[in-house]
Amino acid sequence: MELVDRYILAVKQALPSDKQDEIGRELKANILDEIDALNDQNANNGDAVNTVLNKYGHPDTTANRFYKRPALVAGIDMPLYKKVLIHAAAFLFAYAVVRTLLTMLQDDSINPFRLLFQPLYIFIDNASLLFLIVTLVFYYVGKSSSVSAWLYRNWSLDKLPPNPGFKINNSDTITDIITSSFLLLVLWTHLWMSDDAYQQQILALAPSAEHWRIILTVLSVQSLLQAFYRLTQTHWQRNSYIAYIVDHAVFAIAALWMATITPILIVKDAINANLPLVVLSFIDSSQSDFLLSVAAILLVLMYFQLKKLPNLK
Amino acid sequence: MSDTRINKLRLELRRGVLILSVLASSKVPQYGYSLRKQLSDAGIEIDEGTLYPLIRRLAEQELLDSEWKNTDGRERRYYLLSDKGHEVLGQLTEDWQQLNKSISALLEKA
Repeated sequence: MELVDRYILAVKQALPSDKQDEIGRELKANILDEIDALNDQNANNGDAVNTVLNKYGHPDTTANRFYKRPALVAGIDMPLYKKVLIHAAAFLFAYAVVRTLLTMLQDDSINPFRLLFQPLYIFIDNASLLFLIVTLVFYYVGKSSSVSAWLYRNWSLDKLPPNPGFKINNSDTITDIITSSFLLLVLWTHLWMSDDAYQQQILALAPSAEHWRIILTVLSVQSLLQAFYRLTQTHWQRNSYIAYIVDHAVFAIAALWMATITPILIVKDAINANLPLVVLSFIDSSQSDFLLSVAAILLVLMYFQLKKLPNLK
Repeated sequence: MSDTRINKLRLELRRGVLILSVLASSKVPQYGYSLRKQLSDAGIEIDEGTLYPLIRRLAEQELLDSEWKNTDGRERRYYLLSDKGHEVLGQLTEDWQQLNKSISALLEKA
């Protein structure tokens, strides 16, 4: 019977302390009855103990049958859990990219390797904490009831997406958030950058283009708000899609307009003398080309978006 | 269809009925093994890893009363249908009979 006692002990170790004695006692009584019954059926069977215990299986499995521990995330909450994790990871990645770009802006250096690996490093560095926090929230909220059942308690048929075939692409939304946030931070460098770092910046907005700081701020803020709104939605609706196209149109017009009045950016006088003439000339002449390229990309995007519009309700 | 799949479907089919069977068999005091034996004799095979935790759950739901007794030199936990269990058994029996009738009619048509 030593084997039975060892088995019971192993099962008890896999149980919460307040359940160990009670379940262990009952399990032992049941196992001994099973062994007796098997011995009665076959008097020559000297291996009844092994047979019965093998039938019960691994002690953890037996413990789990008697006491079901709550799962970290309930099966019913799994789709929502995955959705939250993906959104949180996307935000973390956006934060990592913006932080890298800002660091590079402050250092006035464009290192392609740093641009590739620093966001990845920041992401990996914070991802485990993010995973832990999301899982713990689901675990503790899910202990009392299903998280998704609570979230969807007010759901009704009229909340079904009117355009099930038009899912919002979250990676586009995250790209918009990164672009708008970065543009806002670049426009207002003097508010967040240290004086020393700001003084060392090579480029600045031309005094004649100062009003574009306000115009682009307004455009970026509305673009950012739209992107945050889209994160709360799963599918496009006609109005939100039109607003998205208008957003691109406005940026395309702004880029075209700015292309006609360059230079928008100028090289600061203090550093002017230290830059080779070819670089100065490139900065001066490439602005208009860059802005025209941005406008062209936006117009192409708009073309494809407008083609989809008639199919949206 | 593979045997594994068929066995899974059988298990699903039996799961709800097992509760009814256990409650019905607990009108007289039963301990774990005696209950399993009674069900087995009645043609309802259920493995110990499923039955014993199920009895405990029913006791936690107050459908079964339980007490420890010493019989034949061994201590055993005896279970007996509680008042609440009697009530639930009555309701489940009615449901089962109605369901059985409906399903039998469906199967006859098929």
